[in-house]
Amino acid sequence: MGESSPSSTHSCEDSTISTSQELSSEETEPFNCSICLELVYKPIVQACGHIFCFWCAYQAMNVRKESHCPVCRRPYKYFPRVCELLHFALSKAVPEEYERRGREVQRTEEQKQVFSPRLVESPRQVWSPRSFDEAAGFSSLQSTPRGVAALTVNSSAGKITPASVLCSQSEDRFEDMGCARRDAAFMQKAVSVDDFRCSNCNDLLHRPVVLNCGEVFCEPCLKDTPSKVIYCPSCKAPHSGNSTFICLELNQFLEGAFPMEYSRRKGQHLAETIQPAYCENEPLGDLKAEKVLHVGVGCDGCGMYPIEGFRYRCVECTEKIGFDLCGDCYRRGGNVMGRFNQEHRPNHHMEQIQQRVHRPLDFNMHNSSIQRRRQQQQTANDLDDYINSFVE
Amino acid sequence: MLDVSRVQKELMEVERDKLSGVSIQILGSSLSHMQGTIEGPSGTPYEGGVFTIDIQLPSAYPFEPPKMQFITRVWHPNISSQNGAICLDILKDQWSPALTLKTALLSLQALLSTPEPGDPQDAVVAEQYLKHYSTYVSTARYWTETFAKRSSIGLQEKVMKFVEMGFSEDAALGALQSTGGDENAALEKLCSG
Repeated sequence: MGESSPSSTHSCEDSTISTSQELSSEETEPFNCSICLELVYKPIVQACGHIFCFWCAYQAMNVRKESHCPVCRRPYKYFPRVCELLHFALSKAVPEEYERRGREVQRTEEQKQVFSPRLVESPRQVWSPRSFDEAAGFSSLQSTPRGVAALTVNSSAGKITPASVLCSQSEDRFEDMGCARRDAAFMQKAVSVDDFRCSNCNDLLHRPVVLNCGEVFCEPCLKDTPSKVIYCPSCKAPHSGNSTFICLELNQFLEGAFPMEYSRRKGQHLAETIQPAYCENEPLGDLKAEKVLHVGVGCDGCGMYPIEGFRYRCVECTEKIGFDLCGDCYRRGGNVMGRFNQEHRPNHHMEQIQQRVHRPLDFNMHNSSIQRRRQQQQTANDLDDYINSFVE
Repeated sequence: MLDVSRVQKELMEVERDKLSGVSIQILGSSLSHMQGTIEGPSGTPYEGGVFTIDIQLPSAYPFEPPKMQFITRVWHPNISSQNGAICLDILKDQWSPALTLKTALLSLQALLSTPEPGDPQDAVVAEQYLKHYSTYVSTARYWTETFAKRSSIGLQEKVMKFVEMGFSEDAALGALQSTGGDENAALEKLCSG
């Protein structure tokens, strides 16, 4: 995957004309992905708070360097995990449309033989170090997916199996409805406060922030992060970026769906002055020194894409997408869930991948100038030796 | 593989929005080649003109920018007066998959009203823009009048042009009427049907 090749170069590439700085989508339907213009499926919430489909977000990333949010152009380096809260909430709020999207995506995945993560409704705990026995228990749970994840497509025939006839009937019904517009009011009726609880305070989300691990918290709940790096309070995964942005779309939806509850939460938090959690350092250590770039390969732990520095690849995972970790995540150890559908286990053997260093053009120039300077230094030294030999 | 459903949604959106002055026609059977039109912005030498733009969608669209080129000849510092090539960042490295064909066309419209002679595509036009601004304005206006006016030649004259090409008068008239007098579109229609 990761076919998004860099845009074509041109003589006037450095143009500064920015006639369309506002990339605002005109679609007013709630939870539309601004890339495929459809209902988001397996939503990914970027650190800036913008929502995209899993595959749209993945494909929009730059394989060689830092990526930018398609909507606000904020730079980012870490591919977030699917926001499961939003995933299950949407499958409840607009079940028919969400199932249809699921089938569409599954069909494409079957063709490409690369799969997005299978999502199972709770108990869910990723990233935290755990013993292998627990992990095995988790896998047995995973093998019996329910809900949306239960949709099965016969890979050989490429058709929907008889087991999901019910689903196909509902699809027909949906298609009869034509392109009926998704209505926020309609969606709001199908969900309850229970679908939108903060993983920390267990109350209705207020000013929701989605972290890189996909978990959602009230902004005030993240405020008291003691370290400079923001870590998820429940799964302890580090968040990318040095500040938190609320997911405005979700916030707006919550405000509309539960006005009473929301204003109560607002009142609760009003006493405390709301300040975004902020840290100065880039999270996840000092990879700046090691500039080996693994083009088109992302870390399944922290989501860094492309991996910079050390890279470890699982030699036992058979999925086409593979399972890779960056140096930090490899050292941290524990049971790391893949960002796709990998069946990776902590006892799998991993191998360090050596790769030719990809140096940008200016880096090469820099290198040659260093060499030149070394040569000059060498001649100067030789000259000194020569003079010294005379002095002696 | 081109994301057909997204392109269809984009086209529906363009169809729905009558106010923007932007339109898109599909050429041929696939969705990878189309033609867009924009109106010249008022208060500029391009006012009153209707500009046709050739649009090619690469297979990786929307993750790669669409290839756009003016078919209508334009006198503008950032558009080649020879082949209509456009110098605009969002069609190159500043493209974002959240942009659409409509927003790209609207950006071209904005480019017409705010030329950037400091980063030219056509050096001759840019030099004229910087040194002899009034000459630039009159040349641009003349080009708009000559190449971008749909009503610059009468319907009868257009029909005669098609008759000279070997089409029957009735067919030519019908095609022109159904396309609102757009010669290119009418020719397309005559050739396909």
